[in-house]
Amino acid sequence: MKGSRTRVVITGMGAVSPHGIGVDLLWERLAAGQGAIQPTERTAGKHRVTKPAAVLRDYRAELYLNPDKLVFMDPFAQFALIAANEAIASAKLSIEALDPTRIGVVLGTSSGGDTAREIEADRFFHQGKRRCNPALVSRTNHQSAVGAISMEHGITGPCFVVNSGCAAGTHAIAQAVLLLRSGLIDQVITGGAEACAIFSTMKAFEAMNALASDTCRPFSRDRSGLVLGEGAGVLVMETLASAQNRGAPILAELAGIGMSADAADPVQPTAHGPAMAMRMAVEDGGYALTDVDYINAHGTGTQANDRVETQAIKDLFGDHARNIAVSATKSHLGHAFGASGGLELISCVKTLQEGLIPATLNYLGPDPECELDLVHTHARQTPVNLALSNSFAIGGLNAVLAVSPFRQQLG
Amino acid sequence: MTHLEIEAAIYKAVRKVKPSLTEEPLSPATRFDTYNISSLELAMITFEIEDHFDLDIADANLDTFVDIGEARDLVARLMEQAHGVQVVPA
Repeated sequence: MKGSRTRVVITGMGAVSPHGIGVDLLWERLAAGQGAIQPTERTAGKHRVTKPAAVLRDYRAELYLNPDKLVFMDPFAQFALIAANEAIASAKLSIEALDPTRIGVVLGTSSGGDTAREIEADRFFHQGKRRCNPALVSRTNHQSAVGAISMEHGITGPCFVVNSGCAAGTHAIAQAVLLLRSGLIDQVITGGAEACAIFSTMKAFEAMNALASDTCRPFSRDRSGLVLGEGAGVLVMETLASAQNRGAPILAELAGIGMSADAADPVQPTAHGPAMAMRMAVEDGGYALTDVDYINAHGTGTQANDRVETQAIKDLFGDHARNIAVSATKSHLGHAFGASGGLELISCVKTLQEGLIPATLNYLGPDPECELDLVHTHARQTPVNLALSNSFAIGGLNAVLAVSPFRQQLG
Repeated sequence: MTHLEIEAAIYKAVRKVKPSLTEEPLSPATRFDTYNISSLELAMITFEIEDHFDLDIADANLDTFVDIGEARDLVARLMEQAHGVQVVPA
């Protein structure tokens, strides 16, 4: 925001992605165009399903977390804590030297501990077991990821979880920004975490005809749907004053946030809601629409999302739409629901830092209803001055973040 | 079935819930309060033992017992009552 409002900057990042642990590994693969989607089998009792998905293949939680704590943690909470630990370390955030009551944790998740719930359901309904695992409540509550980070680091300020499906991570980050601007806190750990590539979720999205038959091809002709992903994208954000006082590395500025609802349909998206959220994010940051030069699209690879998101971009930006580079990280990492907002913002920050937009993978050719300046097949080297990160949830709940390189003086 | 078999299953349950005890020597004399085992962890150990032996011991929760030897004796009694399995000391 150009003016007197509290500025919010990003000072640390941590990632758990289908590629493995760490932001460096994630960015290396994104920049190189190495996607993580593979055929993935999930079973429950005698049932099985195999679909393309982007999941961690060689994950060993005990390498990163206290093994005695793992029994209480669903994978989504483990991912969150591992990513938060990296983010806090990279931000050089010495919590013991700060006021822990002025630090918050705000994460987004959609499925929460559904992995643990599905395992227990299998025990009851397929194996005929009688007693429930006493750790089930600890594993399945959505706020467990936030609690784990709070406990690990002694953070005692506002800590809560945001649950708005595919937009949960981006909504959570927006709430974190508002907390910082309000003056209630000085630093916040925020982003999203998800472990949703499980049997029941795969079957649910298959039933909607929303799952891709082969792979995720956002904005491409012959795209057939989304693929499930998993992981966590967590960032440390703080007021500019806090970052400068403690000499923190400033990676980028979280310039603006936008949130809206379509108020239209339980499933089908509309263009006006996403357009409104994008406009709000740009204007909230004090920018003009013509300042936007890159959009990290929601880009799920479904027919409806990509067509409607294209329409929203065209409706909002008009002629300037052709000047905006667009790409979709989900072609690499799948759709990790609440985690996607965090992982995609991390990708945006790296894009600002490196001047490189990762390619949208699996592109087969243009769709006349998705005419955008799509960065596909090959990454594009270009400076980016204002990027938007879009997240749109089923039910028409939209959240958008505007992020820019940090400049001491705003123009 | 022998006491040793029951003890081995209890050790396995304890170490599954508390992996940090994998290298720790456990014995019938090991007290449950030795390693800061919380009430929830004890409930999970109970759950693992129930699962292993197909027993329902919720009404005689392990947290009323001081050490692994007492837990073993309870499991032995329940195995005889519930499954008619004769448990011998060794």
